[in-house]
Amino acid sequence: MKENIRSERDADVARVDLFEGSREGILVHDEDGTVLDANEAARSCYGRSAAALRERAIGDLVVEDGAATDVSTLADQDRTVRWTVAVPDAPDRTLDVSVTRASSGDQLLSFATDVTQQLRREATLESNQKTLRRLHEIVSAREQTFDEKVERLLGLGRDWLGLSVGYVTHTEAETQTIESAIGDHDDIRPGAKAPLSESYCQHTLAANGDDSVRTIQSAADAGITDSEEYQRFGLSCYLGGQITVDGAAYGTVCFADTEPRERPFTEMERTFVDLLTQWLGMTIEQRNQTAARNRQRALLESVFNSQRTQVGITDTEGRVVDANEAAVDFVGKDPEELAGEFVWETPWFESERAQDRCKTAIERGLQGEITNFEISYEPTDGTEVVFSTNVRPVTSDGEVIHTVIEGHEITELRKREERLERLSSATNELLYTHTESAVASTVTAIAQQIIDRPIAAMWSYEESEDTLYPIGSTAAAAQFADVAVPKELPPMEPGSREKAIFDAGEAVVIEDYQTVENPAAPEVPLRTMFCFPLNDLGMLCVGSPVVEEFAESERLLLEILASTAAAALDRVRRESELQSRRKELERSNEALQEFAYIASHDLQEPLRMVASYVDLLETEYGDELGEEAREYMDFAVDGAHRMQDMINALLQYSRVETDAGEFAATETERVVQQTLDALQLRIDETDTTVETESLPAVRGDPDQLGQVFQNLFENAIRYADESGVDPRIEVRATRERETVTFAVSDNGPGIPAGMDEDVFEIFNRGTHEIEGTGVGLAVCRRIVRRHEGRIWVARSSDSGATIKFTLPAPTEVVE
Amino acid sequence: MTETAAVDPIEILLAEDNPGDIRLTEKALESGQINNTLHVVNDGVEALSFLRGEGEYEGTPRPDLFLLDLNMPRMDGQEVLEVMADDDSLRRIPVVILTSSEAEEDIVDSYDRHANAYLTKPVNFEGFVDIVARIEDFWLTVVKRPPR
Repeated sequence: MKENIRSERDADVARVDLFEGSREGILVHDEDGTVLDANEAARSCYGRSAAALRERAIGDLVVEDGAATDVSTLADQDRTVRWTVAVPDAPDRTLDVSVTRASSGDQLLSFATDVTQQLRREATLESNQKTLRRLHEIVSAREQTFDEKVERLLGLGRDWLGLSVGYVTHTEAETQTIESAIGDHDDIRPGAKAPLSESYCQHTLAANGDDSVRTIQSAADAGITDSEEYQRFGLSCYLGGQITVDGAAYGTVCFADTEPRERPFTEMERTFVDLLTQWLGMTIEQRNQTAARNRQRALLESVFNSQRTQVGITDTEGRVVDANEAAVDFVGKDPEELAGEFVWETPWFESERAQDRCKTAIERGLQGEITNFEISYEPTDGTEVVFSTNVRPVTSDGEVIHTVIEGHEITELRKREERLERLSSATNELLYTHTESAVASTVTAIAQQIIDRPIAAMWSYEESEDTLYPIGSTAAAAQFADVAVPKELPPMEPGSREKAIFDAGEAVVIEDYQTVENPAAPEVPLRTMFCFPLNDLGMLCVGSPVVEEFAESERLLLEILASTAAAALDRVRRESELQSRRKELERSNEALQEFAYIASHDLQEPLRMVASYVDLLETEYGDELGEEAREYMDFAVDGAHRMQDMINALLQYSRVETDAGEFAATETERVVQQTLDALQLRIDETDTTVETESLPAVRGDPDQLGQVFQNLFENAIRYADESGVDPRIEVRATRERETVTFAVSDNGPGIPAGMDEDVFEIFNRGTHEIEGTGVGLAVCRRIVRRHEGRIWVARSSDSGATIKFTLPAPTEVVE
Repeated sequence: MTETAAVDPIEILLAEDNPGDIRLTEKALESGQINNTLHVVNDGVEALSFLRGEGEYEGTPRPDLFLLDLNMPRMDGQEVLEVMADDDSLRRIPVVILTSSEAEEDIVDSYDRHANAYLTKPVNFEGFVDIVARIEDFWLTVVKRPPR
């Protein structure tokens, strides 16, 4: 008994377990459908607590009108019905329900499965498929234009995504232009422009990568409500992708809304936008190519019909297929007559030579090559006409299907080119002239030969007399002026018309030359004269015996010639100036060298005699002479020694130029070190301290640079030592772009005020009390100047002297 | 008398046109340690005659040392050097250039023409004496001279 009771209770527990644990929502109803109990799954399905469900009629829960809710009937029918039930504070749910009668007989059980999610997924899937199908339909529609398609695609996307606007942008030069748009947004309509920096699409474009689609579900959540783009467009949600055309960003296609979106964008939605960008990119690319092709075709059309160019088209045998109007007009035949003839046998090519060249060019064209050649015609009036002809293949799929032969007249062009070429080669000749008269004869010859002006002459300005003198002319000009040689042409004196033109400095055409009262040339049969002042150097005159206007092109050529002549005159004058300076310099250098030799030989001889014999006198007769006589002799010896030092100093000074070495990249530090080594004895004797920093390299003569440092160091040591302090020398350097500035400072008495310049003069010492020849700084200056540098006394608050000097930095940067 | 005194005096030839320098050289040699005989000629032509024992110099001894000035009338020192270098009989005579020239080209040219030493005349007498003493010391005692 006890056992039975337990087993029944166990069975009840098992049933309750089964009931509560079921994954189906189970409701227990009475015959009327009133809910008696609900398991956990049912509570979840219906979204209500067990208490809220109990005693409710099931029909109250189902929202659909007319839904089958009579559970007892349903139990008998054994079928599944779909109910939509209202759930408090949540969307309605869809449940699939079946009902059975409980074994006890008076109760009914309904089993419900929540199919809401499943149905929604199915709906989305269906919608996606529908949208993709529409997308495909739209893009493949044949009869619609690109713009129509874009508009329909934007409409499709907008509706499907449930957003208010859709648009396509194009970005160029940091500006976004909206090309197509649908929806009601004031700033999003076709043609609207905005700076890229204020657009949503800047980020879409910036996000280079596989995932080129950018989404914003809610501007507030994304934290962009302060951004410029939000301020401008006020879009809360956004879905955009980059359109790529020919490998570069073209713009974007976007969908957006001013309201935020409830659910995130799905993968499918992103894919949709991605598909749109791909189609747009591809289509725009094709459209561009088509536009380019159309432009090209229009261009070809206009080239073909151009009056300037004669064009013919041949077939693969070289027979004429077509020819443009200009070509037909030129040969004076009907197009029908020409068609079918070999192009080289048409009247375009008269001479055998021209026919051969044409035939060869066509044959090459049929091989795929391009040939250019020139042919000239000599029509009956005798003026040569030159054509530039071009033959090129027309290919289709790698096969030559036609050749195009094209000719245009270049007679004038060629003539002008030839003149310019000859003018330029003739002006090159001017570079090799070295006298004014050579310049004049070359310039006037150019005027005659190239510009075809036989009457040309040139004058040169002599400043001291304020007069222009003739320096050369063509023979024709001399003949016109009735003089034997160009030099006899009249000068242009103050008061003359020509001189006034020269003074004014502007080119002038005198058209009534002959009639003008002209003391310079009273009987010259010239009518027109073109006068070109050559800066302040001279004048070029080109004349004509008839009254005529100079053509613009001729005027231009003459102007070129005049400016070239001016440059040549200028150069010749500078050269001769330079030449005389160089000679002067050579002479003075020679004199200096001569002096150096004399100083080293002849000047020393008598000096040595004085010094030696005073010495000898003292040696041999010193005892016999009084104290005073010996003092005199000391003065004499001292004087002789000083003289000797000065001669040696002068010699040293002169050798800066005569014993000059080559310039080379020089390590200053090494030079300074060698100098210090050479002075070591003196440095030790005087307890001198020398402080140098790292010194940059320079370009110079290492021996002479050593001399500069040696002289400066010796001065510093000597002056400081004599003034009773332990000498202290500092060497500093600063490197600028092209020079290095050195500063050598000491702690001596300094350089007296007002002596800054004098100290660099030869035999001029800072103070006469101290031994020295007064040549050290003069030699330094001479050496520094030879290196195109500067040397000076630097003044500062510190005591002592600072000498600064510059030297060129090495040409190759030495770091 | 020392042994040195018994030896024949050293023969020295001086080619010099400046009487002042001739005198200084004589004085300097007088104060020196070595028994010598100084012969003096005034230009290059005479010098060569002396060296070859020609004309008035017939029978003169061949010098052990030749002190040669560069600047001389008629024939200068460089020419004398050139002739000596080309003459087998004169080539071995030691030549010391004694000049006031400090010009580098003179120094180079002299050595090119086989001068044995190049000395510049000091500016004072003391220096001159010192130089001559050094010549004596080096050329007349230190050095093994060629046979006469």
